[in-house]
Amino acid sequence: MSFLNPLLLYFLPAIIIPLILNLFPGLSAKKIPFPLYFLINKTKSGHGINLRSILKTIIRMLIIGTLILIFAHPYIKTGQRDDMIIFDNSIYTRILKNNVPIFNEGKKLLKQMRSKNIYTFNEKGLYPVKKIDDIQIMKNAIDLDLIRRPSQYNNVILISPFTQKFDIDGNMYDLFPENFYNVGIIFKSYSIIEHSINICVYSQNKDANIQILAKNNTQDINIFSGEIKKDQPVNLILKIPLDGQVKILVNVLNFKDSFFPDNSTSVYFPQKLVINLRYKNKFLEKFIAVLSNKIPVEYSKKGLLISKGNEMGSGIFFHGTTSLIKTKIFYENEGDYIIPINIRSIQKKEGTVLISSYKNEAVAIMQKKRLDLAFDLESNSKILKEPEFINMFTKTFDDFLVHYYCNSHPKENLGPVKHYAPTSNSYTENKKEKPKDYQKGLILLFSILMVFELLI
Amino acid sequence: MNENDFIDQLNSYAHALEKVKISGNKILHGLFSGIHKSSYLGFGADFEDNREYNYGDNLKLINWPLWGRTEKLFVKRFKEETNTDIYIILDDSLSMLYPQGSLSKFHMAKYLAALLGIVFFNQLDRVGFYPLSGDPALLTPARGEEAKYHFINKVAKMKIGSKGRFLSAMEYFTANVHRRGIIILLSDLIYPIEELNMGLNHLKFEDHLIISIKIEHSFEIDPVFSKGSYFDPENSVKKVSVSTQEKKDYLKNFEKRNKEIREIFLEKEIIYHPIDTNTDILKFLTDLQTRSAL
Repeated sequence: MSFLNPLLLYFLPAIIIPLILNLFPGLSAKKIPFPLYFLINKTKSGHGINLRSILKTIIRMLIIGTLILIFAHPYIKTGQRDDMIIFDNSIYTRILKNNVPIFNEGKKLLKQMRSKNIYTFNEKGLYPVKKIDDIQIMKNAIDLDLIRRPSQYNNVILISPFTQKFDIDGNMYDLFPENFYNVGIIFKSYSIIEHSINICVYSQNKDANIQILAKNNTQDINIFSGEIKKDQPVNLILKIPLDGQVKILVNVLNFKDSFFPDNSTSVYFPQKLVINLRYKNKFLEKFIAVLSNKIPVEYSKKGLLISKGNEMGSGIFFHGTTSLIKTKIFYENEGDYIIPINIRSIQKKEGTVLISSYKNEAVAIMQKKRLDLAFDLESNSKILKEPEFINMFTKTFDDFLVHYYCNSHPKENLGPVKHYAPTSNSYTENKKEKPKDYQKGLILLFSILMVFELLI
Repeated sequence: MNENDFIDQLNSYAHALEKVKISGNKILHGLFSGIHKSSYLGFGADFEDNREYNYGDNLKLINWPLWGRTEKLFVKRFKEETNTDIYIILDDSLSMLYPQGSLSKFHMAKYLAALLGIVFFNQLDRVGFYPLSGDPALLTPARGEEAKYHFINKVAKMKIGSKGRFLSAMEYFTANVHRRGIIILLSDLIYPIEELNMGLNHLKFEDHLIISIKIEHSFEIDPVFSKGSYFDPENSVKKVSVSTQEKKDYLKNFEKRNKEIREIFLEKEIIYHPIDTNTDILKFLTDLQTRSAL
């Protein structure tokens, strides 16, 4: 006999509690001071050992014992292995095989296994399945790498289309149909200044002829077309010639009928930047010169802002520029007044850049508000530890805008594709035998005992 | 309840207490004039007898109607009225602290002791005070306003003692008190019957007028037992477990014990007055006034 929760058996000694309470009634009896206690008849009272009290004690001991056993969940393994079965119900299970989703095939397999320890995924993560029919396909992919093997199970069996790398001991049951095409993009990063995106394109099983489209409200432009070799993910840095909300999506030309998960993503590219005139200095000019090549820049008294799309969240903020103004490093018109940026009012939005001359404060703000990046205007040294600062004097600054900002900004998305060959089904042996489970009997016994306890 | 609250509560009765008089039918000893009967003849209100007129007697005392009938001169003699010593014996044994809180028997006893003390002070008696348990500490009877406040403060400050020692306390009391007076015994009388009997014998030795007020709690009279282990508050080792309804037997035993106590008091001619903690205090005092006068 095995137990699902054997740790609960440590509570079994608790069944002697009623016995102790019966033998030493003083422990349980409520103590009440009463001056005329001697007038209470002693002969009829007391916890003398009688049949009723013995019976009651036995029933109570049994109740506690049964309760512990119910939660410990005893069962006898007859043909069923003490395995954990993880069923990957990600969006990939929508893939059709013989015009039927492989999800159905997976459920059929689960029913054959007759296991109690089936786990699958929902929005919160892994959860135990009560009814196989209740399992539904998730709307997104699942990161199988995050699964940890629970210690109480001998073996872990994974049923999955295996669109991802998965590294766990145990049998794997691959639902993915042979000769099936799986093409997708992995969105990694983007640069609002460069108007560029960094994506990884992959194709599983076969070479794919793909087309990557950039779409906004008005236009629909092909930004890449070419062939991707099978099982060889390709990193692409693509310029996006569109402004505003841009949707990037992949279009497969040579096998259109296949299933493709929705790998499209949205990026906001602002149309132009607005920079306060008086913040111009020789360092800033260099920066602006770089910016101007990439994106139209406009000057304003309100600081450096992106003229459109603040509602989407991209932004570049200057901080600590007043100290530079005092040293007359940069100014344009003598009569202009200065509006320094209140660094604490910066809201974290996607793609926010902070340009600051106060490193320590900027670091604190970055950590607190989780900004993406900060530039240090004064320091000559290049600091590469997080939060990272890029010095405007370094030569790499120009490169940084494209290279660093694109690559150090990865997005969580589907992992690289790795194909797994289908493994043999280890469930063919003894799978018809039913496991012996005592749970129902125990609950029935518990109910009967409770009735007796109430009656006596 | 703290001392100030206690005294405030007493003050609320002060007006009603002015008219209460408690005096026995017994001849008592005293030093000054009061309302109690004295063994001496003097200038009281009650006519006692006539004696022949002697030279020098006050002419106002001559019984003229008797001269009319007998043609002899007689002088009227009156009973002397005296004050006396009052001893208020307060049982402060642990059994009195039932139930625990401000509505306990002990609180009731303290309250009664203070009220009766005020009544006796008002009728110019000397009031003394004697707690039963602990070290014998007899407050010598005294009268006057100063003594009154001293007495009330002493009662108000009184704390519950430990195990009651009725017999030894009575022995001490009898050895130290010789002037015949009134003794008020405020107790729940939860002592063995024999000890009670012997103790009262000691108390009765000087032929005092004894008024015993037995204080009971309403739960003791009409209990509702719950399951549990009932123990003696004075001795926690002695206990009895109650698992079923024991009320019937208890009431039988309670009545039997009360009967025994009543017989003892009847035999010793002691005024016995049981009250419970719900009793109206003023009604009780008027009852006591009526009863003691009989």
